[in-house]
Amino acid sequence: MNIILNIYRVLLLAVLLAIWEGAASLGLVTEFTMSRPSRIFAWLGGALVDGFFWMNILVTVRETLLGLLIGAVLGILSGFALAQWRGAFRLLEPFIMALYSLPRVALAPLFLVWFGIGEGSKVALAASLVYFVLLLNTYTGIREIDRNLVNAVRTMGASRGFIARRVLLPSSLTFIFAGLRISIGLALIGTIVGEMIAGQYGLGQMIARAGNMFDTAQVFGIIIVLAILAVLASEGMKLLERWVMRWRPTTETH
Amino acid sequence: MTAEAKLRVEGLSLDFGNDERGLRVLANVNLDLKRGEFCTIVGPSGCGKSTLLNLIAGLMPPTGGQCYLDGKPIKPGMPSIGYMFQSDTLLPWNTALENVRLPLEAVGRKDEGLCLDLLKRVGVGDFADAYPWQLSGGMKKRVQLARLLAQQPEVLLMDEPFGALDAQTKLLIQEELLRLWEKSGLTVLFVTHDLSEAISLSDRVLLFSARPGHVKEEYEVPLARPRNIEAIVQDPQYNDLFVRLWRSLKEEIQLS
Ligand SMILES: Nc1ncnc2c1ncn2[C@@H]1O[C@H](COP(=O)(O)OP(=O)(O)OP(=O)(O)O)[C@@H](O)[C@H]1O
Ligand SMILES: [Mg+2]
Repeated sequence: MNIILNIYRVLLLAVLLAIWEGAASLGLVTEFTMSRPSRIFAWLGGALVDGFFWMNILVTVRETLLGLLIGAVLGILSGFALAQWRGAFRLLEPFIMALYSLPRVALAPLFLVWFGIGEGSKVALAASLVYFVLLLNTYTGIREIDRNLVNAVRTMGASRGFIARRVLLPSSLTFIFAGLRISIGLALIGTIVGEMIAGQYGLGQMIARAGNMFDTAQVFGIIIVLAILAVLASEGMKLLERWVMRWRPTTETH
Repeated sequence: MTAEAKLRVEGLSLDFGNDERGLRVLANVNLDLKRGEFCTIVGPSGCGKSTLLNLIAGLMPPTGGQCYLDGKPIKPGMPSIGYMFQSDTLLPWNTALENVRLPLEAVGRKDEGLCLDLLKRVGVGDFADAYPWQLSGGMKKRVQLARLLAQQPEVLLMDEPFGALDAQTKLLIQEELLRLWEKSGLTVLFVTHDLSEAISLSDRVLLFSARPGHVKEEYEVPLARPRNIEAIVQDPQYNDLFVRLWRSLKEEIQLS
């Protein structure tokens, strides 16, 4: 971690917030629509000592992580299966691409009907966004494998399962982690949109309510929390990736 | 006597693509390797040498013909045939030791002592825990050699194993291969572009024609064993064979 760089980042953020605050006090922006940092932080200060806010954070985090996990596991397994049966992929390709390109948040009303108004429908929406990214990335990862690595292990008399575990999986991990990094944001989109459309708890639901009441300070406050959650999740993913792929050359830091 | 052939290739042919634009790569290849024989193939680039080894290893079906090990048709994935590929096939995510363990684990076996011992014998005992990217080209070849031996094969297929090495490393590793092979009784089918490597290592050199490849000529190497590479290159018989091989190979290269 570069300390100097981080100091500059904090400074930049402070300057931007100061400009925002200044513009609001001078009346250059209407506080009603844009709010102002002091009010946002005042709201956050109050919310963070409030059990209700933490409960909503917990709900959103739980739905997002569960959606990410389910979508990723199913996506990786499907990618593997389709890479083994190329015929199946050729048959399904147009359908997969159609579902992949479809704005899946449009499925939210259906998921509400299928999985209920509770957490299930949010998890399903998040998982549906993650699923196709991991399916396609895993499939591509396996297709890009050096055939001779597979052949070398085949000549040792290895079973298909052994080859899948020791060659295909590690070799496609670069693609899988690239998919997982994008998927954090996608899972959050799925959860938040799902919560905004219907439900009782979660940060998306809080944003929807605050928006209806034109409480812009609260909306901004929740957005800041979401941004922090997203950064924490992707840092966590980076650590996981570095640990899982610790065999890689150390110069290749991201 | 065909019965004593350890490895037998009979009427092998292979086409890539099966329409009239298809490429005939091998045409009626026949060869017999005696148990414990070290046999080398030389031939123009693209004449089908790697393809031949892939077929013998059972990695793809031939268009025609058949390969036999001890008189029985070869099936895919027989650990008794060890194959060292032209390209680097160490698993990048496994350490040197884990790579050497691989052929044992592939068939559900374990022998840590053997694996460590093999790494020591090929001179990379201190690098057991290094990943392939931490090894030099020569060290990677040594680890692959250790992995090949850990499989405990009866026949070795080696496709230009030392092709990419610098001249000094190559000479060293050739001597080590000779020492390992002399004690082992292994049957070796070795592919190379290096005529002096072919002569100094083998009992017999097969010269392949331009594509479609087949055995054009066969040369017995009249040098005594155990061999010493320094002594060989001063032997007049070595020079004589080198010149004959090169003249014949040059014709094929100009054809291809
Ligand atoms: N999978 C494949 N599909 C189509 N053509 C192939 C395939 N693999 C090899 N060939 C062709 O078959 C021919 C023989 O290839 P091969 O790799 O066996 O040659 P080689 O004798 O090993 O050459 P080199 O000495 O350069 O390694 C080449 O012309 C190559 O283009
Ligand atoms: Mg080749």
